Amino acid sequence: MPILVKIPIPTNDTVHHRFEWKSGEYKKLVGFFCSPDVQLALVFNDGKQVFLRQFDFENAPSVPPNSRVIFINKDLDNEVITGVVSLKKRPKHFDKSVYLILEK
Amino acid sequence: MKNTEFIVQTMDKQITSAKMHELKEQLDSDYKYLVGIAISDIRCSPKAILNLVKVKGIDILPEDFEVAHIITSANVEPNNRFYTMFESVSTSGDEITVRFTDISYHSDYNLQIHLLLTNQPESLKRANFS
Repeated sequence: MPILVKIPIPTNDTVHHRFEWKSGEYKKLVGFFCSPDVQLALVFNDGKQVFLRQFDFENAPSVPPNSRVIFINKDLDNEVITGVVSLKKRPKHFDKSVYLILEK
Repeated sequence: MKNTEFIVQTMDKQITSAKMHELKEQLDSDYKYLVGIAISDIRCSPKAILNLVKVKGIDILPEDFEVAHIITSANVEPNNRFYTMFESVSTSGDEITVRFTDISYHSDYNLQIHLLLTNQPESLKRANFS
């Protein structure tokens, strides 16, 4: 049963925003997606395994919502996932988020 | 009469401003699980937010979930318009509460939120909802 977890990324005047998330009780990362108009870099294994470099996430209403997910099916063992969200446009009103689809 | 394997229940609300709007509806008591959600009205801005989607005090989606993740155009086949990757919630006639804000509102429109309900979540794979 997938569980959707949101990592809010507070945006301010800077373009790049680093985040860190600990997998804790979750045993599998099924996939993830990100707010539109950002680039995402994602690193696993406590900084040792780069999975994504500056991957573009766009608004894509012509694509089924379940197909906007990057599937990875990666086992997690109490590890730290780090990432950088880079803004392509300056948001005026709201923050960006990374969403992880997880299993326990 | 035998129930179909799933139904699509629609809740709607006239959006008249950029302020938060609340929608409440009783879910069909003949179906036990809420497993999908869709918005296919492209007049709704992609900058709109689902501030809250809740049944029995349980969050279906995280707070302040961007509508851009589930909004689809008419190009998407109807069965593929649902976002289903969240923990399905046991319902059976409970009330769902949705709070919605469209910060880029510029004219009135009728927001429609489609909810996918079933008694057998595994059966949805046969209907291309996975």
